[in-house]
Amino acid sequence: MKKLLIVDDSKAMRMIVRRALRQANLGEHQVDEATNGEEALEKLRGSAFDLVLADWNMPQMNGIDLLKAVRSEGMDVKFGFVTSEGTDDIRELAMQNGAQFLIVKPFTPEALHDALQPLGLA
Amino acid sequence: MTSPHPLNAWLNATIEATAEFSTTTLDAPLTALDSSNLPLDLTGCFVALVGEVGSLQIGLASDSVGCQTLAKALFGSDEDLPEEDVGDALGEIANIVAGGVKKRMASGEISLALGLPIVMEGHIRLTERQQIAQVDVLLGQVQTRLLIVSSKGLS
Repeated sequence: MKKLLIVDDSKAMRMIVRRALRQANLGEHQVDEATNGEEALEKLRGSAFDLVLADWNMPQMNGIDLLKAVRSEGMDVKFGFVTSEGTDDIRELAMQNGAQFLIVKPFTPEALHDALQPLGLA
Repeated sequence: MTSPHPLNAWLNATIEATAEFSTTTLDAPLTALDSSNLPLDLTGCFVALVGEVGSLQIGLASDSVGCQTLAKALFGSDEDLPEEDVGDALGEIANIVAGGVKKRMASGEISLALGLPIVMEGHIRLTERQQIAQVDVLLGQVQTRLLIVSSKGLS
């Protein structure tokens, strides 16, 4: 069973991502949640995940700092952003630091499926 | 002949971004309203866009029933939601809309940073140095006011 971590400070958006994952034909999966980068990092240190889906702008530790911390600690978990930050420079920064994809909000379950399929997750 | 409102380009970008949110997330079109029944005192949420050109607040607001309806649509809930969840949902909508405005307005010459959402209740009082642009729309079935507040001089 695939294990996913949704990282977003908005409860509504965590709910939307969960719903989209169900609609994206992901197969059997288990979802955990974190409300910011610090909380996510603790969870990633304590357990193995197949995928992190993170927001960009969050209090305490934002998404890009989480990604940098994850990579600097040698974790090779697949990492994607689901964010309202859709400019080219943000996308470039994400990829340079080891993200696999960036989905811009608002998004459809199909967009999520298309991002996860090349990673063998859908 | 009247000159166009200085925030027209920002308002149009806000309408486009809200329409994109509406069709993608609510599966409903956005309709512009010539008039609405919205009261003066509203509940809503603002997200700041800050850049070298200045700063502005992008927001949306509705009455309490409208806010509940929007929040329930986002949460996929049939039950009324607590105030905290309504604020969270409005904040996420404002965040998505502001991100859409940034995408449309940012260019090589204009860089913009997104702030975190702030919930508002009541009505807006401007200082002499501020300006506002607003339009009422039907977001799904909810009468909603889209708002932009900035310092004067920004266009």
